[in-house]
Amino acid sequence: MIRSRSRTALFGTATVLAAVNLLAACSSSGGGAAASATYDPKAPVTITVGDEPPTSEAPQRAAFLANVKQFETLNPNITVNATETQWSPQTYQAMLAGGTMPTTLIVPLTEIQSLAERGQVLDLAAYTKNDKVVSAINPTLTKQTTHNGDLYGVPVGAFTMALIYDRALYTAAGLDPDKPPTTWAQVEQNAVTIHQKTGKAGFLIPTVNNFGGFVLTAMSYGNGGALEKTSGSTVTSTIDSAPVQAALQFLHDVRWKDGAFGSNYLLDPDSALKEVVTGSAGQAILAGDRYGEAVFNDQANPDDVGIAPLPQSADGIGTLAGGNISVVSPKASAAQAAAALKWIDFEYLTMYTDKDAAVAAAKASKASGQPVGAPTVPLFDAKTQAQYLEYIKDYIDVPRDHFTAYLNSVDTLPMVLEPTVAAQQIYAMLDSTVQAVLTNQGTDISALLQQNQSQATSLINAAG
Amino acid sequence: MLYRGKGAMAVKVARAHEATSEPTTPRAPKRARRGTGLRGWYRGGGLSTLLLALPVILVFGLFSWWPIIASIPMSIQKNDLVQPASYVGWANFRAVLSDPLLPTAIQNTVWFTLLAVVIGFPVPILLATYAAELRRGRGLVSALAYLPGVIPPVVSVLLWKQFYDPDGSGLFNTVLGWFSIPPQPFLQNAISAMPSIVVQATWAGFGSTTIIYLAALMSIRSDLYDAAELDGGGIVQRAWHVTLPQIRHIILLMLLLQIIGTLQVFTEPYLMTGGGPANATVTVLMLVYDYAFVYGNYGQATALSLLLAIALGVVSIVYYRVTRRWSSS
Repeated sequence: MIRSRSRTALFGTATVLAAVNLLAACSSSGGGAAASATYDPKAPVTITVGDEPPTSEAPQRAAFLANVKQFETLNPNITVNATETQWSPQTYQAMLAGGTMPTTLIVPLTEIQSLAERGQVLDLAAYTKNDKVVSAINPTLTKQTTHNGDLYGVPVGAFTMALIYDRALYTAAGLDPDKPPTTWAQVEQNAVTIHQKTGKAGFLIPTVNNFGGFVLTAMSYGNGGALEKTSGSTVTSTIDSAPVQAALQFLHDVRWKDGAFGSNYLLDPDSALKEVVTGSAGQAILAGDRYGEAVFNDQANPDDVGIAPLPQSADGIGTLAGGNISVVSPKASAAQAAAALKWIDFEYLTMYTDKDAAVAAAKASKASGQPVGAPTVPLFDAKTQAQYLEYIKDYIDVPRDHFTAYLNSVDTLPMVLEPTVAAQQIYAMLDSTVQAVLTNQGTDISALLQQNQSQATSLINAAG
Repeated sequence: MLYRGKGAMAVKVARAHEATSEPTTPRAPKRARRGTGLRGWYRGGGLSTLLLALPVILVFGLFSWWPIIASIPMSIQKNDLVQPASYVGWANFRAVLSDPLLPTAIQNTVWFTLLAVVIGFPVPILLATYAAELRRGRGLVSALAYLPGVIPPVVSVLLWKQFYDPDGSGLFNTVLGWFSIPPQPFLQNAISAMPSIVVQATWAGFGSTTIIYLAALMSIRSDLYDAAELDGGGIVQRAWHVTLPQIRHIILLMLLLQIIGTLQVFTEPYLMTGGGPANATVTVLMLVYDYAFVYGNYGQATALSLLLAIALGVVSIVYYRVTRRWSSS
């Protein structure tokens, strides 16, 4: 007999929900700071900052705590309590309701619109108005953290979706690892070659936890179309379109015509990355900032990791942008919000303009075995990025020449933002579509897209 | 009632049972009157009983019943636990009932339950019957059967996910490879995904149920078997006419608990397939999870939870009525 592991799950769920509700009621006196709230900038204030590195990353943890001390020295009226709390969709809202959310925390860029929509992050517009560092951040990134004209988070890391490939498998298949494919046709051809010559999967993508939809969105951009069209205040679904169909047809062809997709169609991004950097697969569409995880977590050979821009068709409109966003708790007081902004500037942004901060961060990364100089999308302009790289040039241990095309694409390939309404629900719906294409040869892509468009329209209307 | 019309042997066994039954307990002498009302209640030990039970009542009430009651108003609220809740009437119920994924989730959940009953329900009964027949090593068999239950659920699910790995390196596909059978997709195929999950869930859960059945079997008096044996009953007849009737209450109870438990399946499909491929393993409780923790809509999550609770209540009542006749014999 099956153990009723979830026998009490229903009541358990209700228990959790109501318990959290109770906590919310108890802590409702915490009230967030209105954007126009005034405060005494010299009055003592205490903030809690999340994302303290765990003890397993001792050097980075030490550097983080040293930064806390230095920050407190520079700002004697601010007391900083550091915590290892990190973003988790399962706990974020419970933390907020229970009053245990740190004053500031880093969340994925993909979540920021939903959080802003639900009022679960603080509107920072009033605090960042005169912040020169925040104002200098790439406007394409800050646009994604803007909701109804207000700024709800500060980008502290950025990436674009990219083609990650195994340079060793490329070589084994007789392909030139320094000439990654730039079109979808070339990707498919290389996938076939890799599969035929090495027996490994030629191409794959993550397909679960909303990442199937996320990657399909990026591929659709590469084929020339988006999932939503905004006209004034009206948002309409454009899922049933040629670019999305082309992206799905590409997946169908690689899976069924070429037989080069591999055998796992329920991959999360971490598993997909591991496959493609440890010799099990040749190419994958993933975030372009995952070099560090590939080398540090998956123990990939640094020389085998290739990162190239997202392939484009003749009509391609660019690549999907993503990143990490520092947000402030909606329950923070005005003084806490201002202090949190100072901390965000100090901890995550100063290194791009201050040599000592840049070198200290690079030293800490190196000491903990993490790569220095991994490819990312610069937060600021090209001049600031070049200056930053100059600061840390003695510590860079990443073969950046392997990523020349990707690094160059930052200036040339447009960064296209995510769907603005109901993005996560639409991604979840498209997970199923991608999985259907990969697991059922007879899938009618046109019919599926018509159905998706209808469902997406309902989701957009419900969210609106 | 189970003995009725089951043949001569069954009647004899039943008579033997009656003959060896405990004598009727003589009615206890009436207690001396301690007075009525509060004083009587106090003198009768009511206060001490209440004090003894109070911690359990408080904990149960606070962490089980109060949240259930509190979830009822939440189901008619727009509530993200941060902004002030606002009442939205039946909108949450309308929204979850019009979710295009709900019919699929219900279908999958019922399919899981049916498979679990067919695949998983007989296993512990058979194993417990086998263990009960053993003269030596019963403890070892029980311990081995219970071993999977010691492994934390998440660990065992992830372990089986590795076993089901679709390429040749997965445990099951490696074994199949020894017999020149090509790798099977197990979790990667919409048809085989759910049965694969049920097999894992059966493996993880049969141990504790086996122990319960074994305890029930060991409580059956041996003279019933002796009587059956004297009447020439073989092992199958003994099992059919003695064992099953004697543990029918446990069987019916465990079946009900299994149905309720499996209709709330979440951990296994969530971790093994994430509801895929193509929604083939998405369940009702996974929708509840998504409403609450992915989309932050606790009102809709609670609305669907309540609907599920009502459905489970109806199932339990129907089950009780259907099985009452068997249970009461």
